[in-house]
Amino acid sequence: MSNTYENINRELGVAIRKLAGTHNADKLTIADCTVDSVDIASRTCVCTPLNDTSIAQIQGVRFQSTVDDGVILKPTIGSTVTVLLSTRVAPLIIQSSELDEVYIVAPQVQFNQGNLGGMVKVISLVGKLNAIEQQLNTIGTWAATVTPPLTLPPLIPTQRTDIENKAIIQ
Amino acid sequence: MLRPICQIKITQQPTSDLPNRNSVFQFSFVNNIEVSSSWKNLTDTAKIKFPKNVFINFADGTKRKLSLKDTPQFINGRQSNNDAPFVLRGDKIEIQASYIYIDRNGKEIVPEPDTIFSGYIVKVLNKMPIELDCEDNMYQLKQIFLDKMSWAAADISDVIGYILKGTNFSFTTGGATMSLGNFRIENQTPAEVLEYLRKTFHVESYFRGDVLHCSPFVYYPDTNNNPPHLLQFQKNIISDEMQYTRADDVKVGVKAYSISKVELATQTFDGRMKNKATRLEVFAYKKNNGEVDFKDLTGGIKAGIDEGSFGNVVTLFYADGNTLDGLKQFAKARLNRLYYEGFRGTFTTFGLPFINHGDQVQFIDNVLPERNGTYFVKSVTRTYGMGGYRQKVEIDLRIDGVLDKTDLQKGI
Repeated sequence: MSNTYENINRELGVAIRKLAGTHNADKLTIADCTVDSVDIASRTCVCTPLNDTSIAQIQGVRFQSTVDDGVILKPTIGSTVTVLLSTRVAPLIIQSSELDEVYIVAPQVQFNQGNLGGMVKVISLVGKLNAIEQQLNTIGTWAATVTPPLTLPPLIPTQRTDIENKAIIQ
Repeated sequence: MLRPICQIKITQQPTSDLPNRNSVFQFSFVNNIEVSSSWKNLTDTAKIKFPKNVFINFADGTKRKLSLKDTPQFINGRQSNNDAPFVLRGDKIEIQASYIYIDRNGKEIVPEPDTIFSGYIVKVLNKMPIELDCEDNMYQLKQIFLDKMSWAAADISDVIGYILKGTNFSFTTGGATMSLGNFRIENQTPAEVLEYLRKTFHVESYFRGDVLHCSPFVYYPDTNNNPPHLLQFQKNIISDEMQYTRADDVKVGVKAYSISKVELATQTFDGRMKNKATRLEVFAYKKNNGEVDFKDLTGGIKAGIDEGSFGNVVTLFYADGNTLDGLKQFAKARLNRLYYEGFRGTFTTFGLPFINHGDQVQFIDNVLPERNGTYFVKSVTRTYGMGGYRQKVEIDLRIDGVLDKTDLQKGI
């Protein structure tokens, strides 16, 4: 029972939205943003939009759906990210330009075809190398006592830091 | 006999070009006034049409017809302290109306008039007779642009408190709290933010005096205790355009859903508690005895529900539905607004009793008692002029037999 122009306008608006299929629908927008701060505990960051209608900061931009394991791409502060904004769910990063950390926490991870076998376990490898090096040093000590003596320079035990690339850990 | 009276008070507001524009004019005559007031419109509006021939009595005894071109030095017999235009957009306006009546002793009683509108002139129609379009305090909230602001998790009070910062207005949510989630204000006026809240979160806003009412309720718990206005069909209901709808004529169901975040018992690799998002969904409908029942559709379980048997299923998203109980309350409130057995439509009554939207009206019909019932008021359109003083009232949901005291105390 509308009796004002405002009511009629509103009802017309609803009717048009229904015809267009946008009534009660979520509204999505995309904005390129600069990352201002990152909170790994909540898996969210604060961003400032570059191409949006305003430069009001966007709080709570998710870089993971919920706090969990899985794939976590932690963006670098100051880098550019593309953020999807919705009226119904918290905003989220859909593309990143620069990352500080990448976490892949899953029972199985495969790079490329996977036909080169599994990745080396550095702690076990260092242990094995040290055992071989110790054996060789023992042989070297014994070889120095035989005639003619065989002089072998002693092997320095391999340290984990000698062979480990700490930028990629498992 | 009741004799309608009105008083229109216009307070000029200074502008940068006319800093001394501060006169107050009062009129006790008008051709027509129409005031529309509802919780669903955000803004209450008024339209005033002055008589064609309004003459101003000047101090020197001369008399001149008022037009918009005039810059009256004298009005109502006193000198104006400026030579500014009579009315401009942004001037304050207050309209009061009432009835003068003769009491049993034959004495004429002039009661304290009811303020039927208070706001600002937004448009001056440049024609004769002079017509003014006015809006309530919401006009002020359409004039200011807000500074950018964002919240990771905002409550309704955070947002309303922010948009009213620096104004003289206060607000009430009727005790309701509502999480709006991630919220951002950008290049918007406060009124645009309120409109966004209405569209997205079903939060209705309106002004009553200087208090902004903004809440998921439209019928507030504190006013729900007020007694209803009594209206008798053969006495003070002049005419009506109401239709009685039986419960089985309209079969409506409300499907409400929300996204809930649940904290799990397990931890992530870096020692944080894991979260999981789940969809909560309920279907609310009325049983044959009129009681609201729910079916929990969370997880896609649809046992016992034949949606096809409902004439209309309204699907709604609820932003604050972190619990199933909260979602059920929301669905029930929406269903009660859509589906009840009783009257729908409008009726016209005299200027008294003074009815506001949100009030309750109780119909009494001594000839057809089936028409008796108590309803909430959704909107009131008041007219005053040559045809007298009238209120056209639009009724909303039925109270008696539909809602209990607990529902009313919670807010609807």
